[in-house]
Order: sequence, then structure tokens, then C-alpha cells
Amino acid sequence: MLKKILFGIFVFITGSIVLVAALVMSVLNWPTLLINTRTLDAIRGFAPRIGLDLSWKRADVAMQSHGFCDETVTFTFEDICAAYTPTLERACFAELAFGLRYQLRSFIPHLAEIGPLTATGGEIELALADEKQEKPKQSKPIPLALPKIALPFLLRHTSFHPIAIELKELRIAQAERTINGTVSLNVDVTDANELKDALIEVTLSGLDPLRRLEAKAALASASHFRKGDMTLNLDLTTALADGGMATLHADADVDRDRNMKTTIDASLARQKLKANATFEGSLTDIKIFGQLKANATDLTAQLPKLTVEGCTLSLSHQGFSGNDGQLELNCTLDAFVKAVELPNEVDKFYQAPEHLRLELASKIDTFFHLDPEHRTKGHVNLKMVPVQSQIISNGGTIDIDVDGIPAQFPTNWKIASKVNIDFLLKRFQNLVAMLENSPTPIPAPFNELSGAIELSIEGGIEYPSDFSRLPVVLRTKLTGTQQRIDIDATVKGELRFTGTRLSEVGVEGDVTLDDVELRLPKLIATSIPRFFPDSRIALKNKPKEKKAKPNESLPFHYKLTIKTGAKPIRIITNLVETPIPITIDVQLDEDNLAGTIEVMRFPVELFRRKGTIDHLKLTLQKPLAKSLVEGLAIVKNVDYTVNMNVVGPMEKPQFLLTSDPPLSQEDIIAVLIYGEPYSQLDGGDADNVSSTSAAMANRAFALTTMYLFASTPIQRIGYNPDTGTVVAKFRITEGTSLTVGSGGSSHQQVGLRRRLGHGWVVTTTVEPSTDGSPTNAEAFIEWNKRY
Amino acid sequence: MGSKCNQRILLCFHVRYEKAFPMARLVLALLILLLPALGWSATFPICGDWRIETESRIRFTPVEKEFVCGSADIEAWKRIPRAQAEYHLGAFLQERGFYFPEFVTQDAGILVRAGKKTRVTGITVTGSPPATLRIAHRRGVRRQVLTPSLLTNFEGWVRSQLQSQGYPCPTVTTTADARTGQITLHVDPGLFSTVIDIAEEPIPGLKDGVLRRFDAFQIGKPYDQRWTALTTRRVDNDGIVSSAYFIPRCSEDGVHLKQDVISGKRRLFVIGFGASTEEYAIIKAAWQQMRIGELASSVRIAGYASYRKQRLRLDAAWYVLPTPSRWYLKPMISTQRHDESQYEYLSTQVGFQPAVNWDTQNTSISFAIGPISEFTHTYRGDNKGNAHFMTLAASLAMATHDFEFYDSDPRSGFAFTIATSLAARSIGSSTTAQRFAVEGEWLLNLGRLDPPLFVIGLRGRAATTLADRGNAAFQRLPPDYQQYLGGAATLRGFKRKSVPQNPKEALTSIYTGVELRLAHLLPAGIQPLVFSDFGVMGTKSFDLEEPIYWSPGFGVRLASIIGVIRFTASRGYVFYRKSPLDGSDGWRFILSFGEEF
Repeated sequence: MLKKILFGIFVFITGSIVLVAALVMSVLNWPTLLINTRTLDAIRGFAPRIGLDLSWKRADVAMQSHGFCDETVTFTFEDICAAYTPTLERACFAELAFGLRYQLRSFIPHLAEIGPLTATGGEIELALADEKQEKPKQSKPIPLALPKIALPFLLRHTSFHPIAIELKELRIAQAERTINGTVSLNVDVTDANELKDALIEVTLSGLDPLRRLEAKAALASASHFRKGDMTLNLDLTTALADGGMATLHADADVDRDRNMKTTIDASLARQKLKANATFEGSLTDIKIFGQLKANATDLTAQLPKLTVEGCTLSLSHQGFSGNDGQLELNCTLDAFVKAVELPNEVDKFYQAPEHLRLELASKIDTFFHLDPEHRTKGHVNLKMVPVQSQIISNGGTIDIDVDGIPAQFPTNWKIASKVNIDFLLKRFQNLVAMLENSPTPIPAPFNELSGAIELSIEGGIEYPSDFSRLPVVLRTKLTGTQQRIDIDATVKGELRFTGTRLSEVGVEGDVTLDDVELRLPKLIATSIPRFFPDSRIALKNKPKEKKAKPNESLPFHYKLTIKTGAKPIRIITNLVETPIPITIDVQLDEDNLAGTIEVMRFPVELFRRKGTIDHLKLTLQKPLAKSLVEGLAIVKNVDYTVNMNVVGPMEKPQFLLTSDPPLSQEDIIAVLIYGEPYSQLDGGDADNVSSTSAAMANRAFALTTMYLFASTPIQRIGYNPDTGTVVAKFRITEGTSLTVGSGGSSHQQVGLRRRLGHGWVVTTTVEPSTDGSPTNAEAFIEWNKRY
Repeated sequence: MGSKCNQRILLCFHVRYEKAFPMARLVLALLILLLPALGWSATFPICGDWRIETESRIRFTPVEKEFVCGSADIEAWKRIPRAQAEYHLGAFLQERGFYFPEFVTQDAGILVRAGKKTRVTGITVTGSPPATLRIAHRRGVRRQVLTPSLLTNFEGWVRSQLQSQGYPCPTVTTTADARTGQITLHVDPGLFSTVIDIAEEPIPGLKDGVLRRFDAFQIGKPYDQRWTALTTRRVDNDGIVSSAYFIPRCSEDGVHLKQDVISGKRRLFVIGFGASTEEYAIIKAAWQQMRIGELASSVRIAGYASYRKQRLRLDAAWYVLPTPSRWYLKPMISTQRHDESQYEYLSTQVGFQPAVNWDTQNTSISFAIGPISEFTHTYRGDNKGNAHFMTLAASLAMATHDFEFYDSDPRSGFAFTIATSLAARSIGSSTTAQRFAVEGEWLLNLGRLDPPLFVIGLRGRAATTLADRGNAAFQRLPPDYQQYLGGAATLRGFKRKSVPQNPKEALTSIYTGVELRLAHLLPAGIQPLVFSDFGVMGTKSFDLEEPIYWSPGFGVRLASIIGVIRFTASRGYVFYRKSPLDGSDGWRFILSFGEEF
């Protein structure tokens, strides 16, 4: 029974195999048994069940037998269309025909021939999902090598017939954007029916930011694409949305080991910008090496031309796995910058270089295959080849350390720069001579100085931070016959950013006046002219305020500290015997003026006696006239030591007099002016003392008036306490005198008593008559004496 | 001196100046003076290679020249770059009203064309000026050369005006456009303030408040800096202390005044000299003892001597009330000799009068009344011989503060005095006689300009002596009880006290004069004037008779550094002449010193 069953099974299986084999053989030998228009119609009817809509106007299946199971099947469709929602809206060809030949070899079916394939009148409409709504995908590195194009093993012995595919209309809709284009693919074969070359032509429009893209790629392979070797000639032309044009021509030669030698020429023409770059190099799985050449014109308004020559690029794969690479780039950059429009007077001695040669050397750890998400970290060194201007030379280096992820630039990037750029003016006298006859010369007394001035931009600039700093160091070593200016200034230019936008510019730093000695011209205390035009009187129309453009209204702030170093500033003047030492410590910014200016101790002749300015300290405030002054002058004579204190705002200081031994206010003034106490004075001198006392009490003496008062012999001083005016008459030389004082309305000078000095006054008296006659006024020149 | 003439320049005086003959120099100098009027320019050397072309010569100071041409002595300032020199020169020229100089390089050096001076064309006022501030009243700004000092002076004037109108702490700034000559004045008057109080510095030996008797202002009234200045001047003139000045301090509730005082010595000796064509040389001397007692009484002895008048007077201001007051006693003894064309007498007076003075915000008033005993001996005149009087004398004087304030430059206000002395034969007098006199002066500044342009003055005096001509004792009435006109103080077309001439005794006189003065227009303080004086007299009390005296005239007032000098020329006319002896027409010339209208 069992044997019967086993036999039955054996017979069934054998029968089935024989039957299937016979069936297969029958189908292979007469494929139209299975593949015919009826089955195609059946498939068309079944396809919607899987979401595929198929339709054609006419379909034909033809068979040509070359022997047993050696058949060629040819499909021909007319007006065939397919749709597969939601992605494929529509794919239609007016005519689609392709054929294939198979045969049995050792009873194994082989694809003996493919083609010809002809698809013409194609129209494809794709609807792609909006990328913004899709979840972000983890980007994958984009290999820099060309994809390996080689026939699969099963097709190694397959013969090919020409392939011609024509998409006369390709429409890709994504969100609100629609890309239109055409695609054609033509594959040519050899006489031996081997793949010879392929030509792909693509035209696309509606790309953003590209307006139109035309690509033409020609592929060829010596092994007929069987062993992975390939040559590629790619021509890419794009029209940019703003009217620009970019082209790329690449020739690549890939050997069987996937080593590629390539030459890439790229060009860009965009508005005025014209740029082209050439890369010639080789690429293996572990290294890219090549020479880069590039030049660009009208890159920006400030950079009309930039060339990169002899640039060696090396990108090596690091490690045995992963995508780490190391980029080494050594270039010579020639930047042709637009000449900075300097003021004419500056232009005479310094022409901003129009050609900067920069030697760039960099070593950066980054990706090997293109991966914007890969951390990039490294160092870039830019060395400026020294440029010699007419009298100023400059040169320097910039070292930049970068660390960040390219895709996130500039967010999360760390960029630290070290800048060292020097400008050197070796001979100050050359500058003086050059500007001598210009509208802005080096003025006296500075034009007598000689020496050097060095300006260095040196220090670090860091990013990210709210602001970047650009340190500037200025050093001068200037000397003259009696003068010297040694300045050491460290200033940081600040660039403040909001995001990536430059939002504020500023200057902050210290200026140290190490050793400054200046000579004043010969002055006469009673004849100091007005050196500067009166700011109250305008000579020109006020410039109309321009409507600030956003980028012109860049806020500017400054914060400077100016101070003297170990040595005070010394002012040499004929008015005093020794230099006047001055120390300053001033803080300036756009809102405030703070700090102190202090005249230190020096001997001086006051009231025709030897005295000392102990100190005179000015505490600065805005407005300047409100600055507080505090000082002490000491005058000694045989019997008394008089201290003159000055305190209060500069515009109206208060002078306080004290003495040792103590004297009254008027006695001190009398001692100062006349050398003897008030009680010893005659009427006129006493009047002068009275006026002086009144003027001092009313703060009517400005500092300059008090200096004049103290340093010049006084003949007469008159003070109107109610108008606050002082009129003083000074003796300049024997027989000549000078009357100075604040002017004002005429009635400030009216008075019944007019002092002539030395006790003499003019009085006008109106006395009632005692004899009944009319009263009349009489004037007398009187001499008064109080005792 | 060898520089070439610029072709644009019509005259090049500096080239030939040194070689010219004295007469030619004179002619050239005159031509230079005329250049501005003719609109011509000439070049003048500045220093070094620098020359300047102007209508009138500009003189630069030695320091200014060093800033243009450099200093020979100081190495650092030897070389002045041209642009720097131009900058400095521009500033120096600005001070002189030239704002747009041109600098022209020539073979001979650099020529500076100074150009035209900018003159003020108008004033725009911004800020919040009070309505009382009348900028239009300010003279000497419009059409004047625009200079920094002009702006400073103008600011000072505005500030002063505001401080005279109750704004003690104003803020005044100016700007100007040199191209148009337009000045913009910005005024922030500050708070309108009244005087709150006065903190008086103690004076050793005196009670507090002694100086308040000089105040020309009132506490609680708006602040006026003129009246505090007037107070200072009163103190100064009185001599009670050497100096006393006010320091105003502004606060939100008003002005607090502090009066600082320099006491000085208590004794004052004065000797003075004067002159006039009427009295010729005058000498006077005085000695004064001040600050007697806690209330600062004073005593003075003064002498006065001229060809016409000699006087020795001892008087005192005796403050007898227990607290500081404006009431005081005026004891006085005086002897004087008058030698006029119509009379000569010697008189001695002894008086003892209570007196008071007080001030309102704008007016000061003084009053005195008391007995005066007088002994007179007439040497020459109608009533020769001795006469003595015991009189009750009273006087009331009133003057506005502006009249007093502008005393040396009269322009506004008024003053008048009423005086009387009553004597009766029954009370120790030689005869019964009462004198009454009213006199006053009123000044008007036409247009209220500052400084004034035209000042009109009106003055007058009416006086009479009430006496009985029929009484025999009338013959003992001395000259000082009779009325005389003529001279600088009355009828300027008649000789001093020469009217009346027939009869020579007059008991009543009325005089009025009007004067128009052109003030502050001509240079050097010269002020021309025209005037007209009228006078009528009467031989009886309160009675006027023909003739009428009229003296029109003209003159000039010169405000010199030593005081006011006036010269007048006037012709006296006699109308309704009753007899040839009534007086004669003729010209009178008066040169006076200190005399005002």
C-alpha cells in the first residue's frame, strides 16, 4: 500500500515536473501563449487593484523564433499611459517599443539581447511630497566619486540594441513649485552589439534658484560598461534666477579600480561678477589631490578681482572607516581690491594697496565624502605679502582656527583669529614734507617732529560672541628740538552682530601718552588771540540730513581712555620758566566725558612774586564748561604765605584766599596785588581791592582772567557786581596799558563815580542849592584817601 | 617794499610810502581814510610774504603775526604751513568781521583778499522770551559788523534786560549765519523771581540792617539788577563802607541776595578839582568821619572854592533812633560867599533838620524839615548890609530810580524838588519872607531804544519869595531871597544870574527849557543837541511881568573818560522889552564839566 502510495506520489511529481517543464518549454518556445494582448489586457484590468492605472491605445506583442526556446519578443504600445498615485501623476509615451531575446543555454534561460528600446513622445508628471512637511532625514555623505556604472554579471554576455528614450515633457510638482523639463537618453551600441556610449540630455526649468538647467552627459566605456571603467564628459549650463549664467564642464576618467582623474572647469557670470575655476586632480577612495586655479572679477564692489593660483588641494581619508578627512589647501591669493577713496591729503602719502597677495595655508580636519553634517576643525593661515606704499609699508598675517559643522554655519561655529597687520611710517618728516602744501598739513608745532609711527592691527578676533574685536596698536616715537611725542595706544575695534548681521561698530581702548613734550608759541598774556573760529557763527549751510539707509545707519560707539604714562605731558611756554607738567586720565565715550586733567606742581610768577601752582585739577563733565576745577596756587612774600584755592565749575570757578598768618579777604588781595595790607592802601588801590573781592565773591573771574590778573601788573580793576562784569586795566609796558573786560550793554558802565586809578575818581554831584538858586550838577576829579 | 601792485588794486600805498614827502604822506593818509567810503581796496603787509587787501587797514598783533608767519625764536613754530596760517588768519579776520577771505598765491607771496565785512541783517528770537523783552529796542546790532564780540555783547544786553525784568538767572545764547548776517537769539528766561531776602554781612561796630537805608528795591518785588546796582552805588557814594555788593542766588522761591561788605577805614579825605566857563577853576576838599555809633552816623566838613563861590560846611547825618532807620537828623553849619555879577554876599547858616528818605520799587523820595538860622551880609547888590533869618526850611525831593541810575548818561525818568523856607520878622528874622520853589526835570528816550538815539529833556523851575515890598525891612532882603536867571542851569543864552537887569530885584521866576539830544550815534561820545530855554520873572511875589526871555541854542555833549563835557552856544532874546535896560540880545557860549541838562 505504501509502495502504491509512494509510487503514486512519484508518478504525480514526475508527471507534474514533466508537465511544468513541458509547459515552461512550451511558453518559452511559444511565448505568445502567455504574453499576448489578452494577458496584457488582463494585467491592465488587474493593475488598479494595486494602485496602478494602465492604459494604452494599442498594444501589440510580436514573437520571432530563432530556434527552440530562442525567441525574440517585441512589445509595441501606442499612447501608453501609467499612473501610480500619489507620486506618479501621469507617465505617457506616444510610442513605446522594446524587445528582448532570450535563449536556453544548457537549459538555463539567458537574456541574450536587450533592445532595441524606443520610447518617444514621453510625458511624465510627478507630484512630490513637500520636503518641509517631511521629517528631517539623516543626511548621508555624498560620495565624491562617480557612481560605478557596470553591467550586472547576468548581462555581461547580453547583446544590446540602441536605446532611445525621449521625454518631451517632464513635470515635477512639489509644494508650490513646478519643475518642467525634457529628458533624452540615447545609448548607442557597437557593431557587435556591445554598449558603446550613452548620451543623456536634460533640460529643466523652474528650479530655485536656477531659472534653467541644461545638462549633457556623455558616457563611454572601453569595456563597454562591463568592468566599471568609464569616461564622462559633462556639460552643465544653468541660467540663474537673477539673470546670471553658470557653466560647468567636467571630464572624468575612471579606471577599473575606481581611480578617477578629472578636470573640472566651472564658470559663473552673474550680474557683473565673472568667475571661473579649474580643478585638475585625481580621486581615489582615500584621497583627492589636485591643483586648483580660479579667478573672479567684480566679486564685490570692494573686491573687483580675485585670483587663486598654484593652489594645491589635498583631501585625505583618515582612519580605516568612517568619513573623516583632512583637507590641506595651500594657495596664493591675489586680491585686487578697489582703491579706498582716502582724503586727498592722505592719498598723497598713503595709497591703500589695490593688489594684496595673500599666501594661504590651511590644514582642516573635515569630511572625506561630502557631508555637511560632519564636524570641521582646523587652522588657516593667511600671510600678506608686504606692500610698499609711497611712504608707508604694510604687511602681516592672519591665523584662523575654525571649528563647526558646515551645515549649521555660522551657528555653533567657533572661529578664532589672530591678526597681525602692520602699517609703518618710517620717516614722519616725509609725511610732513608731503603734506606741507596740502589743505591739511601737519600743523606747527608737530611739523617739526621726526621719527616713526607704527600702526599694528594685532590680536585675536573670536566668533561666536555678540561682538568681535579687532585690536589696533599705535605707537609713535617722534622727537623735535624741544618736543617729543611717544604714544602707545591700544584700541579695539568692535564689531557687534545680531545673528550674522553686523549691527554695531565701535572702538574701545586705551591711549597712553608715554612721553609728550610740546612747545607753545611765544605768547603775551594780555594779547592771546582767538585761534579758532567762533562756533556760534556758521559759514555754510548745515548739511541736509540724509535719509539714512539701513546699512548706513550702523550705530557707532566709542569708549577711549586717554592717559599719561609714567611721565606727565610737559608744555613749554615763554609764560613760565619751567615746563608745565600735566597728567591726564580721560574717559571718552559717545555719552560721557569723564576723567581728570591735572596740572602738577610748577613754579610760576604770580603777582610779581615767586609762587607755585601746586596743582590744578579739572574733573571733566559734559558739557565741558560744567567740569569741576580744583586747584591751589601758593604765593609767598616776606611776611605772608597766601594760598589761592580754586573750586567749582570751570565756567564760574570760586577763588578762595587763605593766608598764613591769617588775614581778611581784602587784606589778602591787597597783599597779593600791592604787597601790603588793605589798611595801608590809598583810596584807589583800596577800590581795586574792593572790586577784586567783589568779583571773586561773585565768581566773575574766569580762569583765564585770573591768570591775566595774577600775571600782569594791574592799574585798575572795576567790577559791576550786578551784571557780573569785570573791567581791568593792565599795564603792558611803560606808558601803554590794556583794558579788558566783558562787554555788555551801555548801562553796565554808567555810574556816578568813575574811577581813574590811584585814588582818582570822577564824581558828578548834584547838591541842592542853599541860596535858592537852581540846582546844577558839577563834576570833579577827586582824589580819595581813606584812613 | 618792492612788492608789485596787484592789478585789481587801484592804489598801492605801501610801495611808495617811505619815499613820499610829508605832504604827500598826508594826502595818502587822507586817501586811506577815504578808501572805505570810496569802496576802494589797497594792499597792506601782514608779515613775511603775506599781504592783505582790504578797504581799510587791519592791524594784526605780534602774536597773531607769529601764528601766520612763524616765530624766529622758537624752532617748533618756525614753519607754519600755509593751510594752518590760513586757518589762523581766518579766525583772526573773523574777529574783525571778515568771514570769507580769499587766499591768492602770487609771485610776491600770498595775497589775502579780506572781502566784505558781514553785517547783521536781522535777528530771529527763539525759545521762550517774555513779552517784555523788546529786541527791537536794542540799537547797535542791526547793520553792525558781525563779530564774536558783537554776539557776546548782544547776549550780555539781553541777559541784562532780563535781569532787569525779574528774571535773575536767564540763559541766553546766540548763533549767526555769516553769509546772511542773520542772528538767531535763543532765550530761556528762567523763573520770574522776586527778592526773597537779603543776608547782610555783619559790619564790625554796626547794627545789622544799617545798609538797608540805601536800598533802591523792595523785598517781595520783582528782581531788578539795576536797582541792586543803584544800591551799591549809593553805598559807594555815601562812603559808609569801602564796598558793598550783592551776590544774587537763584532758587525756586525767588532770589536770595547776599550783601558782602568791605568796611574800609572810617575816615575819608577827598580833594577835587573842577572847572567851568561860569565859575572857572573849582577846588574842593572834604573830610568825613563815618560809621559813628552803631547806626553809622557821619560827620563831614567840606570846603568849596571857585571864582564865584566859596563855601565851608560842616554837617552830619545823625541816626538817633534806636534801630536802623531811614530817619535821621541833619545838623549843619555852613558859611559861604557868592560873588555874582549882580551881587556879592556872605552868608552863614546853622540848621538842624530831621530828615527821612524812602524808596518804592521805582522811586526814591526824601524829605527834610527843620529850623535854619541864617546870617547874611550883602557887600554888593540892591540890599547891602546885614540880614538874619530864622527859618523853617522844608524840602521834598522825588526821583525815579532810572533817573538816578542813568545819572551820568541821562535818558529817562524824572525828578522834582519842592523846597520852602519860612521866615517871619517876629521870629528872629530881619524881615518876613517865605521862599517857595518847585523844580523838576523829565527825560524821554524816544523809541525807548538802548542805547538811546534821541533824548528829549524838559526841565523847569518856578520860584517865588513872598515878601512885602512896601515894608521898610524889605530893603534887608538879601540876594539869596531874590530870583535870578541866566547861565548853564537856566537861561543858557544869558550870562550867569544876569537876569533881571531892570529892575534888578525879582521875587518870582519861572523857567522852562527843552532839549533834544542826539545820543550814541556819532563816534567818540560826541552828542549834538539843540535846546530852547524860556524865562519870565516878576518883581512881585506870585506875579510875572514882561519881558520874556528866550534863548534857543545848540551844543554838543562829550562823554569823556573824565566826565561829561558840554559846550553850548545860544542866543538870548528879550521879548516885550519894556526898556533898553531889560537886557540885551546876544550869544553866550558855555563850556561846562559835569553839567547835564
